[in-house]
Amino acid sequence: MTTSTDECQALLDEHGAALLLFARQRVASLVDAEDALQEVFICFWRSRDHVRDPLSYLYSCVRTAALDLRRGAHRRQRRESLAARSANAAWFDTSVGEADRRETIEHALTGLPVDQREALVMRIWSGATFQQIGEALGVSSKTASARYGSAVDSLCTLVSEDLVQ
Amino acid sequence: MKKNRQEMESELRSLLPKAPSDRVLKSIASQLAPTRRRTRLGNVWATFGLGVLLGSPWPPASRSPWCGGHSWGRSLVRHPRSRLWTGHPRGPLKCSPQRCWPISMPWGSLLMTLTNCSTDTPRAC
Repeated sequence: MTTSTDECQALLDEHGAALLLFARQRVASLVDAEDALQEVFICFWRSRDHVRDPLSYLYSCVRTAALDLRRGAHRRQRRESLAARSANAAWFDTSVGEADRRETIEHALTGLPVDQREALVMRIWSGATFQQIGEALGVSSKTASARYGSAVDSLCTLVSEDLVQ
Repeated sequence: MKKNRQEMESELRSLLPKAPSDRVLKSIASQLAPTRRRTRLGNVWATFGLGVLLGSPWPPASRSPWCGGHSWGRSLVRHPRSRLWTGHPRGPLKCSPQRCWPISMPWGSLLMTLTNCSTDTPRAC
């Protein structure tokens, strides 16, 4: 599949925020997640002619890049210095919706296993199919569906408990 | 009250993930832009330039040493009076002022073709 610059820009506009949130499930700092996103888009642009499904490819690459960044020892110092500033940076746009509700859901999300969160982010904020989620995460579409279902069910429980407290 | 799946999904969709910073967006855009120029415009100009290079008689064929002209540099043909000609049906020929004979010189043939040396009959033959 051949992707033009405009199409690449459209992908960034449409899925950039969700991809960033996806990267943040694996790395602690916002800066590292942004670095992963940037690296992946440049890499995607160079190899776009060989990409069959851009969405699952981008998610798969972001996941790998985020894991690499987390492992990179040379970034530890930088990460630590930025941690205080960005560790508490919100996952969601603070200008939309109720602040309490947003914080409740974000808190509940952090309580989920990372595999479930990844499936949830792809499905909710990028509209990915379970096939695409499976390809990106290296699992079957059935497993992807099960992870997503578990994530939503757990969130229902966690959010209700949070509200009761 | 516990929410059901649909309610939770719609509530999640109402939240917007934080967008990448301007720093990242600008950086990605700037790295995509030169690539586009290289791949599209660059290819056009490269093709045009190659076409001009191959199509133009530079240096003039009659003046090139391997076309039998005056030597303007180091000659590729050993004998200063020898000539090369690729237009003959029997294949590339090497010609002296008196006669021509077939030679096996693939690079010479290619060179003659690229430099537009193939004429109907070399002057010396």
